[in-house]
Amino acid sequence: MAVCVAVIGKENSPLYVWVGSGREELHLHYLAHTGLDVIQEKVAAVSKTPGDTRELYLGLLYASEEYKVFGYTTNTRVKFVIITDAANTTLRDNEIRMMFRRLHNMYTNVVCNPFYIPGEQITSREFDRGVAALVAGN
Amino acid sequence: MKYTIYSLQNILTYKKIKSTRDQTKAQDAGRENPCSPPPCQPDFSLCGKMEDDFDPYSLPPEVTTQPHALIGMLGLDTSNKATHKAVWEAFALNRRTDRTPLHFCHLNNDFQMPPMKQKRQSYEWYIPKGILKSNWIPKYLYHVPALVVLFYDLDWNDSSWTEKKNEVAGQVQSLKTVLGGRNSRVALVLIQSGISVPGEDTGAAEKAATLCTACDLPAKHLFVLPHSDVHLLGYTVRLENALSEIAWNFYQGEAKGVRAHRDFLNKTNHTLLFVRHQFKLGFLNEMRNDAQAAIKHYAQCYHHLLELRSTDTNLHEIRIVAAIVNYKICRLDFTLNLPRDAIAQFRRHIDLFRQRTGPKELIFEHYAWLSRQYQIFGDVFEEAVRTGLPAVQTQHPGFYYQQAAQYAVLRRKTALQVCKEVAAPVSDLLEGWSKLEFYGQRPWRPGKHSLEPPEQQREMEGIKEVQYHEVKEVNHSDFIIPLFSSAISQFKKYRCPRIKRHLMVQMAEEYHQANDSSKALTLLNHVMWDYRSEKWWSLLQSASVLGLKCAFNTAAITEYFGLALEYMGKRLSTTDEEKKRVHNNLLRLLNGVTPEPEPGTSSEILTAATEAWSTLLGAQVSPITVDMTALVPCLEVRASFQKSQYHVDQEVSVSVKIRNTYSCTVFLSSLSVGVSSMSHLDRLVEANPDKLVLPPGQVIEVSLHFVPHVEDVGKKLKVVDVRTQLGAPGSTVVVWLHWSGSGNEGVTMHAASAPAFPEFSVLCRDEFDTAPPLVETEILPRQPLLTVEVSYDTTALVWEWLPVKIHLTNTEASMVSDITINFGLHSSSHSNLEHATQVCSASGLQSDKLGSQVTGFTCGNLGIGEATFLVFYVKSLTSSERAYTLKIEYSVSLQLGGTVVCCPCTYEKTIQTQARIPFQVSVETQSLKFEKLARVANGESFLVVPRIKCTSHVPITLTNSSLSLAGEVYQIGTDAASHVVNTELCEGEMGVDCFCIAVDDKVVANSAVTLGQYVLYWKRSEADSVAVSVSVGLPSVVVEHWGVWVECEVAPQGTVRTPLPLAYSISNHGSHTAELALSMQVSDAFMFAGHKEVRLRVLPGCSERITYTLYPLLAGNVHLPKLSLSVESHSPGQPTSVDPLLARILPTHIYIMPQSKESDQRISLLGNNFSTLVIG
Repeated sequence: MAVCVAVIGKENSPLYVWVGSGREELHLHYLAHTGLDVIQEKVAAVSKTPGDTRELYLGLLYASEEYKVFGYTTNTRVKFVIITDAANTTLRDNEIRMMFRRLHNMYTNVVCNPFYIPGEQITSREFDRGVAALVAGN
Repeated sequence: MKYTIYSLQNILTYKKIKSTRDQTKAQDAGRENPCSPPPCQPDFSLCGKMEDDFDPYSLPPEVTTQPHALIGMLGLDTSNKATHKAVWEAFALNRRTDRTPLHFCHLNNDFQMPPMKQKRQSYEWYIPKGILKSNWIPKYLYHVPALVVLFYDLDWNDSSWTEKKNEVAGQVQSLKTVLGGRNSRVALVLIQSGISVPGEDTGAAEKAATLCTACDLPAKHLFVLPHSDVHLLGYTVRLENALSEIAWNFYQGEAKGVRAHRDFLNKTNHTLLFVRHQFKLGFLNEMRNDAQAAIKHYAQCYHHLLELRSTDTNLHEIRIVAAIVNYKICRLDFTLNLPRDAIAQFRRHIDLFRQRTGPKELIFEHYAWLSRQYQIFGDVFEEAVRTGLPAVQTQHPGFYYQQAAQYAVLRRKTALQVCKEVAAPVSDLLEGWSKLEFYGQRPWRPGKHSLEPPEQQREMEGIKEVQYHEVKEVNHSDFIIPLFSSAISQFKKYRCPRIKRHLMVQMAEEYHQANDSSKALTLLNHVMWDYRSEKWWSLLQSASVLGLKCAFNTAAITEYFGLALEYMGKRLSTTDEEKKRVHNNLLRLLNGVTPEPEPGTSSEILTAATEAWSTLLGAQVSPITVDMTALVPCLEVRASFQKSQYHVDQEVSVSVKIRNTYSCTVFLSSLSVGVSSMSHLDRLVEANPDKLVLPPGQVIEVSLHFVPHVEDVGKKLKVVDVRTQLGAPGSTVVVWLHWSGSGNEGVTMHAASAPAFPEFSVLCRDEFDTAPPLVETEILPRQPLLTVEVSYDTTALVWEWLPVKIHLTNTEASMVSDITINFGLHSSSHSNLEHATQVCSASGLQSDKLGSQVTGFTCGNLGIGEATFLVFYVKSLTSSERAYTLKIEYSVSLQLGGTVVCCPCTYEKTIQTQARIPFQVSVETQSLKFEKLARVANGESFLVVPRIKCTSHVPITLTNSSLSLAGEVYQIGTDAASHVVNTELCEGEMGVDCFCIAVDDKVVANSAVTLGQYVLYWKRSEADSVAVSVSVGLPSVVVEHWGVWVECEVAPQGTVRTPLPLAYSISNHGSHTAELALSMQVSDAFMFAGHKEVRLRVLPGCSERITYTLYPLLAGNVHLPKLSLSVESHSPGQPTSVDPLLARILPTHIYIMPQSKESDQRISLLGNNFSTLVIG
């Protein structure tokens, strides 16, 4: 399903990046990173109209020849990025949205862990398992 | 080798894009001056010029030229006739975009048309040799004018009209001959100097008609161009509109001709012609400015093209034609402001052709073609944006340039894979590649459009040659770098900094590939900073690996050290062996040995790099400073003061912690810290290498000390920077590692180590990360050790000099010198208090100029253990609270760090007092009979009675009092002394004083006289207090003037039945004789002898004495017989009766003693003394 899942912190530093096996890891890192440009722009556009409850799901950020990059941002400005194959037509917008919701829940659980320091890299077996299940689509 | 620093901007736009856009520009420039191409020959001059830069995968230049209707202009002699030149320029030069799209070309009389082909009667046996002929578009663009306009100077009223008419007719005829079978239209324009007014010259219409007949031209093809400078442009605009109609009609006619062929075509043999004809229709419609129709035909053309069967043999031709048609559609879509259609068409185009890769041996051609497609679309898109199309962050030309660049990279990659063993070709099969008859065909089989190669062997050789050309003759970097450059500028424009950075990394890679490592390094330096600050270590690592290679290749030693130190740190997740390798390289460098090359360095680069290194290391290498603050290196530093405040006599200590995150021990040879101290311009240095051994993963701490200077007092000292020298002492290359500030500024401040939420980190992180270093420390004055005791009464009395006693004892360890004391009202006191407060030292008590401060009171020196005592006095003139500041400054000599330093100290204390009024004084004037009195007569004696009521909290002693009288008032009795001398009063007690005074005679009657002041001297009852005086104003009295004055002379007391003499002396103070009537009333207590009633005359200045002898009958305090006196002769302004005066000044009673025994003589004497006291 997804080929890359990234959790990016408030100050745009990566907290967790999962890349599907056999993929060009560096390239996907770059893609996740460059997705921040669009996220930043979208978030800035929304925050200019106050009183508007923000939709957390930001939709398709951009699509290259091979990949599609989707974005999501929490109220605490933590960003999620999911990258899928551009050829993958089975994943519809709604499914991506659901994936993000699940990811958000999983992230919330990570933050609830008293031994986790917010802003640090996520090293959690539970989260690893969650992401593995998420990208496998079950 | 010298490392050159390029500016980023230079690098990003270093190479010009050799794109179709530039070619378009060249074309445009060419069009400005269309006289140049000789029109008679097929014009390949442009193509010929492109021979060197020929790119078989891009669009031919004629395709990218904007097609405009071509109008030839004949008969203009621009070089000799100014009029003609002006007309030509009005038509052809500086055409603005809002004018009708036309293309004018200047024709000479000897111009030729391209020869016509034989008209084909039947298509039945005709097999087309290719899809699009490469000479067809230039033919219509440059060589076949839709309309030839013949210019001729001819006025209607020209004298030789007929001859000229015939000459024109002849010219038109010969022109038509030249045009031959072509359908090009002919128009005639008469350039006229005079302006004909319609209706005036009836001959004009007639002459025009005859002229048309003579020339065999339709009436609509004859124009008149009045030549006047003012309106020329207006006329030309109108004229060209009319001409464009005619020209467009020509293209419509041509299109009709093309369409007519269709009926002859069949689907089996002529599929290529379907494509070709639709293309022609589209192009002709474009020529006649009908974009809608053109798109329709081009779309049809594209459709037909897709229906063609494609094999590896004809694929290239098909995709080149597809690129041309796609370009036309997209560009027209953008022109018609249909960007969505354009993008959709492009997507479809790419989707259809991305899968058609062609033969494996020529796979790179596919990517070259794809790259071109993206680039072309990017150019078209960008052109549309320049003419006003809004683009957004997620859809702009940058994405297409980016993709183009990526395909260009892929092209090189596949080319290098496929063409590994390519040999130089034997024969030149690629001859004439750029001049083929059909677009996209192979030069070794021109004019062959077949599904299978006609000659297998030749085909193989051709492919080999293409491969050879691709690898040896194409400079891929020249394609790739400009594409990145375009993409970067686009992404910058559309606010995508991160994509831009990614592209910059890719561009750097490309520069590295192109052996331009220094540029690559400059690019990387810009990018890596952002990756560090955003903590994308994976991306930093990729850039870092490349950066190291570039730094090695260019022998950029500073960058090499910086990158290597970063590479060795824990942030980059490279393997330990890799880190070790880089570390070893560093050690080699420190010893002046060329480092080992980075893996993957090709041999020729290696030779150059090694040479560069050895030249660099051969000479004396100047010390290198690596700015560690901008990196995320393996060594981290925290410099911190131990305390946030130091006294000037204390030693300031700075602790420097160094953490080594590299997996092996690192050795430093020295460490120094710069501190912003006035005295310490020198750095604090730890030069013992044994203390600077950094074991892996550990923090070592180095303590440095210094003594602050006296001038630093009150200042904040900062850690300016930290510097260490890498390697063992005596290394060939001196490398300074430099941290500005305390070590955690710069990029690491908000990135590498600073946690996002420090409050969470306290428990989990080690101290190195969490403890904020004290970057600043404040230098305070030395703590004074002098013992100061201040004693005073917190309740002061108003007006008194309150003593403030200060005991100083030297408890310092050395002599205290230059003691200076400042004492005074606190600086924050209200200004009213400043005027109502006086402060002085003991010696200043007598001074009359006293302020609220005593400054600079010097007190000399004090030896060890000595004590001194001094007193300050403060006087409060109002009752309120006051604060005083006592500041004692002195200096001591101290033994600090081996030297004797004179160190100033300051002692400060604030004291508070509350002042209260000590007593209240009220003064009354009384008559001698102790009656209150407000009016007195001249010379009359009266009393002044001050009453002093004590309100002080401590007993006070009145030491003395006196009167300070006004000039016209005098005191009665010279020995009159104060009655309150040395009287002590406690709170609530009262003292009364009394003085007898009188007013001078000279005072004018009925005026108020101010008597003067009562001065009271007092002090606290304590022994050592100072007496102060307080003056109280005496009340004023009104002075009366009496002409008659009576004085009574009588003994203080009498005795029963003993005669008592009584005399009244009546004097006249007035200026007139006083006639007086005197009567003496009888009294029960006395018998008396004397006048009972008598009339007197008293002359001015004289007095009469009237005597009585009283015989007291009763003892006790008895009534005297009452004297009454009235003035008979009035002098004006004087009362008739003087009884009120008499009542005030004459005694009314007298004490009569009982008859005494003989022995009691003394009692009567005693009674004399009391007489004045007991009256009343």
